[in-house]
Amino acid sequence: MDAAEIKQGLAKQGYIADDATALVLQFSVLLQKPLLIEGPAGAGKTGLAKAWSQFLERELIRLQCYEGIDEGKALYEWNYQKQLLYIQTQDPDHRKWTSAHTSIYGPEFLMERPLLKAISGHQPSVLLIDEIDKSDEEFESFLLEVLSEWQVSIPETGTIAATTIPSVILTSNNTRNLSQALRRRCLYLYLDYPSEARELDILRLHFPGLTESLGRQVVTFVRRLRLEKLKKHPSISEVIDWTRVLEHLGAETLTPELAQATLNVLLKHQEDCRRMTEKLSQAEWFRGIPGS
Amino acid sequence: MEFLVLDLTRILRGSGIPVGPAEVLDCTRALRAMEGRRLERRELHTLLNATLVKAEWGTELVQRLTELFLGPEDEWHSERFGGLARSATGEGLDHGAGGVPIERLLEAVLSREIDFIHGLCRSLRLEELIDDREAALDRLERVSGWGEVAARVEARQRASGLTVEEYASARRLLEEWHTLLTEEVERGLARSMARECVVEQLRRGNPRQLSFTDAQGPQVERITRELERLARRLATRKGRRRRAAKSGLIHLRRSLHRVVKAGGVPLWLAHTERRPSRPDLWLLCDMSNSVRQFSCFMLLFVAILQRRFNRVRSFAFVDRLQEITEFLGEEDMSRVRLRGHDLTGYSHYGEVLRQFHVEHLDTLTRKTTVIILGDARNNWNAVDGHEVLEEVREAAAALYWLNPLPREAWADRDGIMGVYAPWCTRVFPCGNVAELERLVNEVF
Repeated sequence: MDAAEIKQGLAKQGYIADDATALVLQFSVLLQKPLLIEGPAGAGKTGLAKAWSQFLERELIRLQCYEGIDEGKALYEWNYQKQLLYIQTQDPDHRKWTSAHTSIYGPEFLMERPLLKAISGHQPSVLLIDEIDKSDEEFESFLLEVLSEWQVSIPETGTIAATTIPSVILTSNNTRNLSQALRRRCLYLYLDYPSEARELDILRLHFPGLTESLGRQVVTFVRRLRLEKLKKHPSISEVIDWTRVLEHLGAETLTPELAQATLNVLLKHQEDCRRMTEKLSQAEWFRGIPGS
Repeated sequence: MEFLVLDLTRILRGSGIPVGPAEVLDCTRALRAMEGRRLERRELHTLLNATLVKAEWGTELVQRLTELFLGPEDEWHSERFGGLARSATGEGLDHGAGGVPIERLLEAVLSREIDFIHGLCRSLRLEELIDDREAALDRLERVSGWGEVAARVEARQRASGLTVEEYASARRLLEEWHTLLTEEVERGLARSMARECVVEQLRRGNPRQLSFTDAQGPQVERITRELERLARRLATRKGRRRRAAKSGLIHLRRSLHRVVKAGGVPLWLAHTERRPSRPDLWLLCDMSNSVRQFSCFMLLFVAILQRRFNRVRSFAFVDRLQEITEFLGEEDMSRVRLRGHDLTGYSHYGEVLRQFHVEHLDTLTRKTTVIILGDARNNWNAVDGHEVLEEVREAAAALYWLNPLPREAWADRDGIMGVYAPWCTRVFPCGNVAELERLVNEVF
């Protein structure tokens, strides 16, 4: 699979990728390695995984990480209640230890969680481990076996090797450093906010009727906004929302007043809104945006 | 190709980036797979960052490295500048300043013809002048006519032959030109001096290894982000005290609940959750000019910690001690202007330590960790105040001293780290993010 093909295919799924992204995806297929994507929130990391699974026509299995996630939530769990029920329904005469032991630790009582599901399916899938930086450090080391050996060790039954190797994407918002061990097992991609040209392409894809001048203004404005010191910078999806609002209002050019009135679609913190409203009221800041 | 990759790996390792054998293998496999077609420079950078460096700033670092190795991108230069340089300078430049068309250059600077200057820089020969960076740069400034042109621009400005904008733009262009010269020298150094020099330069591109006091411009931003990440990790980490116990103490009530579930047999034990330790920190930061930037970084680090823990107190000092805990919430530390901690502008550790001893010893508890940040340069003052350190250490849980200078430089000139060191629980050199991370892992 060629980088150019990947780029085209992703574009068909509604995701405009840059060259570096396509290239690294190509390597991850080639080397069968997980791909670790870091970058600011809202730069399209999760979106990439979704488009990638659609492009490969594979099922997307998603594991959302959070503080305190453990193997019971990520890998597998024994269905305790079902095991109890099974033991109680057995005929008392046949209650032998060996048979009970082998039968209650069978696949029937194993509850598959995302990781196990991803490697044991008949069809290869795309596994998305989202926001890995939110999980604890211990959880990271626990992922290592799955990600490098493609197998899962279950103490009661033994090792389950992967029937199919999934394409794995890990995302991180870069809030803490991931361990070297995990990095070593992954390929790396830093996904920043899109360049102006790419963002304009994204907007065109979503709004075919968008006029050239307004599109340029939106993109330049957002670019400037991202250079400001804010609590949270506008993500791509928020820019799309904002453009939808502008389109709905029938705006043809972006004026400071219009931007001020619709700013809360882009900025989600009271402080950020206030700061930018102040800046927008000075004509200086708005100068240099094409066509205004 | 394999040799090149191995060579790169060694240099990267030298500059503080851990690269494992498996990663080298990945890199060569990826390169082999791409062998069928010509790999563009940009693609090569992406590949090397994806497989070897793996960092946000990695592409830039790799770009720097490959430029040092292979020279800047050929087509870029040959197309845009090669011809220009020849047409401008005749047969290229001689080593004397006589060959440089100063008038023409001055004109180029004033009319912002950066291409012309690019071309000129490319055509300079510097094989034999590479020995020491400063000397080489100095020489190049002369040979390329930079010094001469800069002087003439100044002269014209004084003779008021230039408007303010013209002057500013000329200054900017001169700066750009100077950057070009610096790059040229660095490339030359890399070619002739080989490994150590390249490693040293790369180290400067790695925000984790870059010294706090050397950071400039965009690097400050990067170090800041690295610090934020480290602080956040520290804030969520479980305490070291119970690390040996896998999952904390046994939680009796919850264990009994589970006994009921198992029909009276205590099959499963419940453990208490381990909570992140909450350090009770006091920081004394030297804000004198020599270590100001270091202290600013440290305060930033502490400010992030402080958002999570409220038991952090910070003090700033030059020759007087002043509490600054309340200011730390400010977003931009460098904008905070303090008064009362700086009377003479020269740090006076003896005075400050004694003041701390008098005013704050009573409020220290056995849970407090006191950290002093400074280079222990007492400006030849007779009073060094080491006698109070022991009492402080006894009253607190621990007393650490972080010195931004490398260990070898602690005793240079007026540095008296040796006097203080025996009275502290431990002293650490703390010049960059990597060193800070190491000590954070050891102490907390």
